[in-house]
Amino acid sequence: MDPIIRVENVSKIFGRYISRARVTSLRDINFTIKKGERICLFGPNGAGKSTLMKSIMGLLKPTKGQIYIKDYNVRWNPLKVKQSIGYLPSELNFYLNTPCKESLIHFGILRGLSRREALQETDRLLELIGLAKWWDLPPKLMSSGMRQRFSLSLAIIGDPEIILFDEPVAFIDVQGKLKVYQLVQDYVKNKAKTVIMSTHNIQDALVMSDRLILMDRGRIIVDGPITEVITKRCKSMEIILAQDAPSEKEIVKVIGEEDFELSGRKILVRSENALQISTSIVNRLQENKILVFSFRPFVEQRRTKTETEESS
Amino acid sequence: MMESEIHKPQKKNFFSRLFMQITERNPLLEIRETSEIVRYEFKRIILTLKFFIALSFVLLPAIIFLNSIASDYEALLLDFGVDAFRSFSAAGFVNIGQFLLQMIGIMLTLDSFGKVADDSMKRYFALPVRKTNLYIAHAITAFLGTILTGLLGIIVFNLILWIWTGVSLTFLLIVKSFFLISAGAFLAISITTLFVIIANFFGFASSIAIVPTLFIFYIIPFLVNFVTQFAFGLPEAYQWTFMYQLAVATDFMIEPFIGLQLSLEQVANRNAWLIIGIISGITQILSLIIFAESEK
Repeated sequence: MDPIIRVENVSKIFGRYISRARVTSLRDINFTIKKGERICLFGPNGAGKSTLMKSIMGLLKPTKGQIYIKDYNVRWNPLKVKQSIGYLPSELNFYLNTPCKESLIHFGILRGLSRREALQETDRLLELIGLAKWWDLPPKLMSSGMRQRFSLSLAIIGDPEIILFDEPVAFIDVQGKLKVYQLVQDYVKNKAKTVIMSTHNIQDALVMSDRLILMDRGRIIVDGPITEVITKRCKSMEIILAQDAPSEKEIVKVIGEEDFELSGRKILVRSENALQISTSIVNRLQENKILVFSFRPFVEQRRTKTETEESS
Repeated sequence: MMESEIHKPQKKNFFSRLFMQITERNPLLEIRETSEIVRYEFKRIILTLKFFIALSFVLLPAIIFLNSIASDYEALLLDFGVDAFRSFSAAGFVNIGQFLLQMIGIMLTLDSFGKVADDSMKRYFALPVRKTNLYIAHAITAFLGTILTGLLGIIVFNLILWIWTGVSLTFLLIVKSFFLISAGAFLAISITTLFVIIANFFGFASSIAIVPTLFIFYIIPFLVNFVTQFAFGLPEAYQWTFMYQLAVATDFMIEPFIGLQLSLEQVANRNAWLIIGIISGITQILSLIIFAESEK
């Protein structure tokens, strides 16, 4: 089967023209996605997941490389590409004061539906996401879970073939998460949609995807079926903290009871559940504002001289 | 031929992209898209309180104006304003109305293109909506909001004037007042839009973008006027300021005249309108190009 998405040698550097401080967010990213695949871009904050998503969506122009959606170049055919993609961003993408139905109809019309079609689709989607009773109320009156479900309906109105979820359940409670999971799974499986989601929570990745792309500092570290990645390729995980990391004592205090080895700024997790444990460690570190420099599978003698210099 | 071969990457320059944009879709589709965004955004503006606050700003000068007549209140305004106020003419309202409608125009521009709007505008970037249409729709929304506020302001002003004094503006004067008030506001909108878009482009807060507009319209004319008249005794220099050009254009159209008309030549009047028109047009085109070409 021909791939529906092709990402070829994509790099993205921010601050090339204005600022002296350049930030390389993506480095030579290559992968393809087939129709109906459910991909998870996984990695800590700053790994480049959102930048990659935005580049696929055409919201950011890659500094180098090309991205193709259904063989259309994202840069040169943005309208054709966007016609096929529904995007759920991590931040709110709707006006909080405008009634739900109004916004949904508006999005539907801009996706090319006629007013009548948009109305029908709106009613159906509001029913699907369980917000039919809220049709005339503005999202500012809703809980974060409800807002996220509403956001989801805005992403899927017009029935796009590809759906991008940028941290779809990042800010909602467990109950809300379960509802969103259920909705996404029902919708995606019934219609054989291609899904790319980004997250830094391994549980979300396990539930919502069947292929995992592990990213770190703008590079793809591991790419494969999610169960294989977790059980075979990520048995040892290495977390390197940024230079201003606190003392080992403080780090241990933040991480708590998890099974890990700590030496200086380097944390090593060796376990059958290494990915799960290390993800939980990274999340805890980031919650405590401890910057993670690198998060990747650990292979002895793997690091090159340049990388060692870079990390120090 | 395989589909992938059809869509091979091509390096396209600005003009070929422009040509592709023009010919890619049915023009009716572009109009439908633009009008849908205008409909939604305008409804949103009306739904928010800002619009009514803006309206109250237009009502305010009407009340001040009537107070000034009733109690001989000395309002300190721009050069022509003081005389106009005292002379019980509609010209005073035009000057004041122009200033306030400019403020409203700036506010609506920030609402349409400002930092918060720029963030919320990202919703459109993920949709198959052309950036050009997005820009045009938001500009139309700002203009439409200003026009509506101006019309309501003039009508309410006239109503208060009539109830209080028994004097009413003629229909022609109402139309002229509206036209002149709007001209200044459109100029302010166009210039503010350009600065807001430049600020967004460089990642600055859009609120600082009103500073250049305030300088161009108010601070520079004031300084030029003050320095040339009092320090150097050269009263002509202020003729190069925007506010003066607006006053010339206003004075040319409005009845009763506030005096400036008599000392002006036709060429000066024509130039004033040309300055307003050309600068508005150029700034709008520049803003559109930066907006369409910038990465979001």
